[in-house]
Amino acid sequence: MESSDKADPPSHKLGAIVVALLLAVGLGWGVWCLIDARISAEQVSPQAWADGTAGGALNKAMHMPRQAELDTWNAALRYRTLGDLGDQVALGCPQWLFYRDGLRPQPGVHVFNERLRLMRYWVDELRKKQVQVLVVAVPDKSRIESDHLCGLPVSIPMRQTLDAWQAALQAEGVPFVDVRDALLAAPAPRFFRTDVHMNAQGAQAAAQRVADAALPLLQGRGQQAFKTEEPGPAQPRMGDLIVLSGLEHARPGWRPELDSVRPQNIEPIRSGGLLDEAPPVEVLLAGTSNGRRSNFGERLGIGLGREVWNMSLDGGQFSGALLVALNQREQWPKSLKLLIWEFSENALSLPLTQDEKSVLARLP
Amino acid sequence: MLFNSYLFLLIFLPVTVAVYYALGPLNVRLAALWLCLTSLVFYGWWNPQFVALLAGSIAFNYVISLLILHNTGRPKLQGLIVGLGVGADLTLLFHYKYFATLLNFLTDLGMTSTTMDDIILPLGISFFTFTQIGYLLDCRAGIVKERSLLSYVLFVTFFPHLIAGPILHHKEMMPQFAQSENYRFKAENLSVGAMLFVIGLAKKVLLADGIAPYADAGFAAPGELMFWGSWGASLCYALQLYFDFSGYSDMALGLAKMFGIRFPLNFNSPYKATNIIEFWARWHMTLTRYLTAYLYYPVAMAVSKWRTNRNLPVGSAGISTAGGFISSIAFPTLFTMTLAGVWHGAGFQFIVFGLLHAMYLSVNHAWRIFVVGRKPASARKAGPIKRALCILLTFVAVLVAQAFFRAHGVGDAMLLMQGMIGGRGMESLDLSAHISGLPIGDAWRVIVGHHMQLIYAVVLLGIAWFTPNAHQILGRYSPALFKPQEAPQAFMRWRPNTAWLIVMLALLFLCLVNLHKETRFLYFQF
Repeated sequence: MESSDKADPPSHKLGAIVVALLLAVGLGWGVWCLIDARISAEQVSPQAWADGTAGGALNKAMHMPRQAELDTWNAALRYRTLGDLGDQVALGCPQWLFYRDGLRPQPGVHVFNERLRLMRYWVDELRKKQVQVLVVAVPDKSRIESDHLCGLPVSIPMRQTLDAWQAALQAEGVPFVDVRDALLAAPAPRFFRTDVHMNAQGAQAAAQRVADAALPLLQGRGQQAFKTEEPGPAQPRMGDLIVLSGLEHARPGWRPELDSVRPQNIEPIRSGGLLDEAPPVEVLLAGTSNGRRSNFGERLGIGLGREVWNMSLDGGQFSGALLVALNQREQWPKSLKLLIWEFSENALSLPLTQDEKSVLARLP
Repeated sequence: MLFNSYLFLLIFLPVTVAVYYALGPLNVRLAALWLCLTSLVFYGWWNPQFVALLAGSIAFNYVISLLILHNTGRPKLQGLIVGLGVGADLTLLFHYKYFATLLNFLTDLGMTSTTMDDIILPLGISFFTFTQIGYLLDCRAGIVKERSLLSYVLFVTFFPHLIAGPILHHKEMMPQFAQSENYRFKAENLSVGAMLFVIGLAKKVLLADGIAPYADAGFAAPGELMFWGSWGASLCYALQLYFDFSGYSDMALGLAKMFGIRFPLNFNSPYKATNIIEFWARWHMTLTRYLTAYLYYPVAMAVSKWRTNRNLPVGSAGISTAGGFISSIAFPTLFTMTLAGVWHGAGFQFIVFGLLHAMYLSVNHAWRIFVVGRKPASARKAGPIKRALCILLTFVAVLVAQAFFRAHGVGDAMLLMQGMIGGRGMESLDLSAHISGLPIGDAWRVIVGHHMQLIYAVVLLGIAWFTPNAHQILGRYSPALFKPQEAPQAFMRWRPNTAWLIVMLALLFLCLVNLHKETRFLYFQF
């Protein structure tokens, strides 16, 4: 022991006071968070306590003061100093962002065969309804924009999954479209720099390829005409990968530059008659956010000469939109001939959703 | 409830500490009861139904312990009661931890036709079961002194250790719970306890959780990894496991100290070990102690008795022969480490993990006895280079075993091994083609951003190898029951002063900023 310590043992009072103060302030803030969260009685019902969800709801209500600003600063500092964009997003070449779920599989997910079983079941269901199906797997951005990866590694088996999927569809006699060549042949870039989705050029190329594959199933082009307006002036576009990186509110320079987009309006030309009736619906698009971005649905409509009933869902993953559509099948118009089932390539390597597990549990 | 959650830090901990110290001077039993109740709330937060299981286990084992103590003069009956108690505990553990896996394994072999989904594992069941089995065995051995129900319940349920250890011994805990002065507020308890807790929290939130995605990604597809990728995944997991579990243990010791209770040390810089025997003396020390006392020694003693009955040499004379070494050291080690592997989980990979460590330990013992032991004392000293090589060799051996510990199965672990020996080639780490002509800021972000895994691994390994651990930093103030040496550099020794207070506040701030991504501790699955 040091001689000075022997003479005058150091006091722990200051440390204890500070810790006690921190605990007291923390408690006050914690109670305020709980009050401010306005947790409903249902969230803390006896049933919720029994299944553990009440605890989760209370914990979710807790946060630091000015948490959002702190998170933004934290993310911005990590990007600026380390090029680190968090768990879900990776930086390729400068300004190019990629979704990690498209680069490598999630840990412990081996569900390819389960997805094949689901596909077989749903295709049979659709055929029973006399509706044809066309499967479209939109390739991942990292595959099409590989020039901008700058050495970022991509899982090889994940790359091979799409080929295996398409081979399985072929073996089952299920029509599918491979849009890889069309996208690679389109003028670059085909995807937004800061987003997982296709830009206008990519959407146009993919939609045209899908339409070309769908037309034989529909016995040729329809008569519906579309009006395509001139693109408007360029505007900054907040990419979903910037949001996922927590950089949505970061200052310029502290986040990758936003994409610049010229918005364009495409819409079907109505007949202009008394009731302005649209032709009967023949094509249903049950897709993901790809179907809702860059006028993909409208571009597909132009290629088909038909207005597309677009039921695509953001976050639809593999089967979200398809399940919603199937749940409403009794209300489908009798004119419906074709369902285009679209999902992203990486959805094949994502864990099964609860809905998918429920369907699988019911299958023989 | 997780230590690394806002709910714990902002509500549970302040309320528990405040009421505890308010009740302590008034009524010690009431304060102890408060700790028991809050510990049950803490445990039941995930799944309140398992509180009944925990309470049932405590009640059962306490009754068994009373029966054992009551029948001190009747050793046969006592043995029967101990057998019943331990058997029931192990049956419960087997049901929750191994039954589904075993049944599915037998079905795979075609021996049964029934399969079942995995049973939800009650948190901490391995820890509270082992703690209580140890208590029952010590009741029979006649070394249990403090036996009050309240102290026993608190000994088992005290929330800082309930879920993932340290594995406590009643001899060091129950007397502490019985001492009234431990229930009185002391400034040192908050000052030291909070510092240790914050160091543990930082290890978990800033270090273990930071490197975890790289380990997860590597073990998700080990067959894809080439040489550097395989070593990277293995290294990242080793570092994640160390900072996660030692962080948890530091938090547990810090929290206990905040309530005036001292726990045994559970980690003492295991990756600095120069051999595997030393590694186990530094890694999960309370488990090692438990396994040594209740598995290794009884088997070693039985072997010794068996050899004595056959007029075979025992002790140092016995182990210096091949047969004596195998029966007296290798066999008890194999027995103990295989069970240690199985304790960690159902699955053949855990047995391989145990067998590998049994082999390492046996080889290490054999080396000590047959090679180093035959050298003159002057030739046994190791220089710094030899020491560094020994540390490296030990670390690599640990990495190999941990691959089995972490992988989804033996096949995945073997795939990782294949990558580690270059079986799938070596990837290029050259990024020069991608950064030529870029502005310096962009080039820096590409280089660093693409090598975050390497940077994390180097920084964390640097901390593990070259900095003193939390208890060496706290030195004489460490609340651990067995203290390691103080940090060699004076500036790394904690003192209750303003500078260290600022360090603590800064660390706490960084942890709180990152806390909303809270993750569970790795050892919660065991």
